[in-house]
Amino acid sequence: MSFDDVYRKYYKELRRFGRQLNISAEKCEDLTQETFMKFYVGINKGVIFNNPRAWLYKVYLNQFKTTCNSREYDIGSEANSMKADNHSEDALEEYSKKEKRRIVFEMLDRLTDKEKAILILYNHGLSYAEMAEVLEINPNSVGTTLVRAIERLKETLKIHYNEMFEQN
Amino acid sequence: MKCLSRIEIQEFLDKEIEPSLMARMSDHIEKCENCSMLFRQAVADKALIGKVIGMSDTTEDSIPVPEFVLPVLNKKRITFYKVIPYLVAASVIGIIFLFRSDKTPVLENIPEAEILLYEFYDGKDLNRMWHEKSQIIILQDEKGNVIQSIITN
Repeated sequence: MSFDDVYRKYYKELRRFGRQLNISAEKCEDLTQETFMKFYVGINKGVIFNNPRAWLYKVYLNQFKTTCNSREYDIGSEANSMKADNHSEDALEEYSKKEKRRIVFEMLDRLTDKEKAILILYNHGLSYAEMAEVLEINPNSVGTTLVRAIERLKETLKIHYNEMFEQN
Repeated sequence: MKCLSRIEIQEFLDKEIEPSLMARMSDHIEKCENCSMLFRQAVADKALIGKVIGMSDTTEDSIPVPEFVLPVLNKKRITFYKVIPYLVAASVIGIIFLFRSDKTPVLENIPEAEILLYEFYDGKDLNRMWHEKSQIIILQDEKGNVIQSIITN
């Protein structure tokens, strides 16, 4: 698969991953470009990528950890920046979405970084082997980590956000 | 087959089990009420994750993929830490010049005539020149007393 193919295929996915980690849109764009830059340099140096998808996620996550120690939350400011006199249905719907998004981030922040990342990666449809590579954990422990993260998420939902989500 | 753990059920749901075991596990889940309940729970949990994580999505998916800007390879980047040794060296040299003891004389204190003379003799030592070229004429009387001494140039 050529660089262009990989870029076209995974750009949006990576950007979405960043936004789900609650990185600001601008920073998210930068991280995505930097990740692909490293991939491009790797290809030019003759590095063979057996699984470009997992590699991109791993580099992205590592860059996020190193460069975004003080996380850039922009969700709250987005929601608050809406004009008070703008009460049209679309605006209210938009506001509602942003508010829900803010609550989801607040809830996910109650989990550890690894738990949060594994849930997002699982939602993105990565295989256990890919998740193990991204999170740099033993492939045999992915199932355990995932189930623990699910249990923690459910517990958090039950305690703090019972009204928002119907418990199953 | 013994009952499955929650983790095994999860792995079964995600098809991360060896294919040879899949059929046996599937049979067991169908027959065992406890495992069947765990399986249904795992399916519901997966849907819940989709719902929760899905809510964190933005509407930015419609944004087109930007063109990739090709990096300039093999070009050395000048980073700040690489400049530090040069800055330190320049600072040390600056400090040495600032506090050195043999400072050049300040021309402002030298009278203009001396400066002109100095330039006229092309920097030669005037005192030495005077000694080399001068003659001493001593005038004496008959008794040998010195009447006058004249130094000529």
